[in-house]
Amino acid sequence: MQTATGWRAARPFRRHQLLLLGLASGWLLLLTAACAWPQETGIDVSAEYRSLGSYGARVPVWIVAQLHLYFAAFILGVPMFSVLIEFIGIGTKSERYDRLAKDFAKLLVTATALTALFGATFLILLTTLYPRFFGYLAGIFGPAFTFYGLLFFAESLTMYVYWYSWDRLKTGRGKLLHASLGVLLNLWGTIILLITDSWATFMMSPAGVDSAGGLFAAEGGFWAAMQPPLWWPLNFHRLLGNAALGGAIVGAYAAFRFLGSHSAEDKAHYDWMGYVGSFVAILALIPLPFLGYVLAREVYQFSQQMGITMMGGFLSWLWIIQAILIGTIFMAANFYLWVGMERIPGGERYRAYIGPLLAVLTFSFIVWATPRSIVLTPEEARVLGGGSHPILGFLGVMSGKVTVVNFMILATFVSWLLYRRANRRESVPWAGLAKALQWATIAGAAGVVGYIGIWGYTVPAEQRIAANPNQVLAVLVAMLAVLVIDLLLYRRARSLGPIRWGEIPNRAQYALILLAVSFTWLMGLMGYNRSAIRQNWHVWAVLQDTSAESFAPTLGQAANIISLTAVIFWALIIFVFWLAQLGEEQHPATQAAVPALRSTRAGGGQDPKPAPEPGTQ
Amino acid sequence: MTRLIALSVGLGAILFFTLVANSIPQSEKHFDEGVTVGADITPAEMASLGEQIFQGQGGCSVCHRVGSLGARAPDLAGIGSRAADRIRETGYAGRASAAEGYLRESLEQPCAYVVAGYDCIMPVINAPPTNLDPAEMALVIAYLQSLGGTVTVKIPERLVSETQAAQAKPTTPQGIVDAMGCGVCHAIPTLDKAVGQVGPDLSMMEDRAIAALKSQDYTGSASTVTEYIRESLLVPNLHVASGCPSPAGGLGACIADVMPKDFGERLTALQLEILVQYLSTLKRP
Repeated sequence: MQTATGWRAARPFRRHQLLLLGLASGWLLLLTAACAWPQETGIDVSAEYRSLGSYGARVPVWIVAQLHLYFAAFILGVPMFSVLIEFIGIGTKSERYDRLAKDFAKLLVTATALTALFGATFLILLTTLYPRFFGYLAGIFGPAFTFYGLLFFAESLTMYVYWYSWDRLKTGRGKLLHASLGVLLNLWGTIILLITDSWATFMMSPAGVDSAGGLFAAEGGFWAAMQPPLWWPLNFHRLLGNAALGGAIVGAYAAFRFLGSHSAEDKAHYDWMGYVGSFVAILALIPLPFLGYVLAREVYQFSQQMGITMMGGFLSWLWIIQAILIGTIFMAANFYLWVGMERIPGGERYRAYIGPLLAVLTFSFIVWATPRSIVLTPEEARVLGGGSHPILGFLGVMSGKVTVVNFMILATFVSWLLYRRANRRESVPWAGLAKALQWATIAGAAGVVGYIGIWGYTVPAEQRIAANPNQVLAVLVAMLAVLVIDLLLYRRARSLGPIRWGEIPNRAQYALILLAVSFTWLMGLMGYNRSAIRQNWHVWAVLQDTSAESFAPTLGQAANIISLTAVIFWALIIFVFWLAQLGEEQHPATQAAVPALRSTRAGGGQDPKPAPEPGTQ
Repeated sequence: MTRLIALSVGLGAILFFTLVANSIPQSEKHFDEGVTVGADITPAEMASLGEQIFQGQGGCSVCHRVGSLGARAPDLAGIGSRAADRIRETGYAGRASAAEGYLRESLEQPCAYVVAGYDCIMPVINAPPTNLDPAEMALVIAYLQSLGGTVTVKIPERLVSETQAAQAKPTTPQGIVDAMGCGVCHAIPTLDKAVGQVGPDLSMMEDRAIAALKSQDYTGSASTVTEYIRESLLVPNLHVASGCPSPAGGLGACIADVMPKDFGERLTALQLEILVQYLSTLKRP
């Protein structure tokens, strides 16, 4: 069958794009009309707050803003690694990397439209339901709003050119040009992130304004307002968070396609795609707790009151939910790697490590999820001798929690290391020494982490806080050192057989789904936290929220909204997955991949050269 | 079928997280409930309302405990009787002369005197974000007084705090320094009660200004001593001086964002000029 190329290949896909665009425009018009329609006679045009019928203002804005953030994180995160994979394809001249990058990028087209849709809805709701607040923000950030609008055009147009020119710019200099477009896409996306982070962090930690809230030149004015104290900490956290969410969702997409595939070739491709997506998610996940810690420390630095409210006040139990989420993510990631080793010849050698790793992860999970304060009646508190359990209460403080999260990171790194070497046997004479050195390094890092963790209980808070970065440093240095040794150790390693892509058990795919859903829910929870620590301030200590909804809901109520947005998001993401499947035709590159897989399954013939793993070239 | 299982895994996870979040202690947090104060409110009622503010919109209970030691702030049990002792302590550098004044000062200028073993991290309670009004402040003081002492505070008739009422728009250097609390942080030997050990000693202000103007890292727009002093009062973060008393002894670096930034609003133009002119006369003998 002749394969359509270039614009012809895109045509069926574009019809659905137009349909989506039409639906989106219709919805926007309807929504605008609904918001503008007078709810009652004698409407107060100077009202500071309005409501969307009986739904109030906060919940509709919350849902739409969160959905916009989900899709925005996705379209900002995916290009970060799809472009990288495209460059790997150029460097290795491997068609399947290019196909993989294109598969990732395929999801961007519809997702960008949905991002814009929710962004526009968010803007309409803000201007109509929170006119005073939005008017204030516009007074501060007017020029930035305009620039942002232009940037979004640039980003969207670049993305569409990037996608639709993929087959046309497939070889030679055209391919380099195409990859450069991907770099440009990332540049626009990063600038968009930085600008929106300015607004978000201004609301938390305003700068450049006087006590009345007006831009104050002596305090730095507009440019200081664009770079509040929490700006860079949030930038780093979100940049990595976007990559993690993007990786997790493409991993879920791969799992979705794997579970629906019938041919061995497709299963192999999507198994591999799922691994790459989860690899990106886990790679970004590992430093995320560190960046989150830095962000929290900067919150304290800016305002002790805000920091203490966040960690020790009415939001303290939110962190128990966060612990459960992150524990689930780490467990799912490790489970995926362990199950994945079953399809790697030689992986059975490392089965014995799974038990201890699971024990470390489980213990760490339990410690992390242990609360400090317990809700008790006065009589119960008297019997217990205080608001905390006399023994378990010690696990509820930061010294214990920071320690175990580092243990979880180390354990996950070890799981990945074992996965990486599963089908390799080292051939250097110094292998034994090298591996002993690796284990000693990991044990040393764990020892440093544990020692500082225990020592932290015996010293004042400021000393403990000052020492926490050393725990992080120990883990990062250890991971780097062990990785360098590993790269040298397995440079000319003998293969025990190629990875049997496509033969991974279905339960590993369910783990990818769990990983992606947990990431989504966690993002929703942290978004709620970021808003809630402002308490009854639109802009902390500058512009007060005087609406009837200026209270903090219960954690259960917040969770219900987060779950609703997560369900809506995933319903739409599944729609994006389905749309990506439409009009797909057999890609010529899979023909090249088939012979390697067939000869392995036939059990005869010469073993093919082992397929290089992503990130190991 | 397998996709159905995958869907169930995803929905199941969402349901699980929702159930966990709904199973833990639930409480709505209202931030600005306000209290209703009747004309004939009794001291006991004042203390009760003050406790409500303490636990609620004041945010005090986040750091302070009553009857147990907090990691970040002192135990307030018995503070009603202890307040009088505090102002007699050797290191006390505030301006209160009575227990009630000490409690008020602790809320309005929490860094005026920080109890040993703690850092100055408490926010100003009658400013944003906490923003208690004078009536609410009086109720909180009533509650604190009730902890081991007697409630003596009254709800103010006018919205003027005790520390500002007698010092309305003073026009002498001593009066202005007292009203603005400069002596809490700065030592000015020529003025009474200006013995602060937080910011630089201002006894040789002219010399300090000249040195700062010549300094390479000075980025302000002043070119004379009076301009520099005026700039330092209005925009304290523009040039953070060196030479602040160090806890370890001697002098060390000064920290930004400690000196209030609102003197431009609190000082009248006349007060500003009086203060600038006075400080510019302080020089090396």
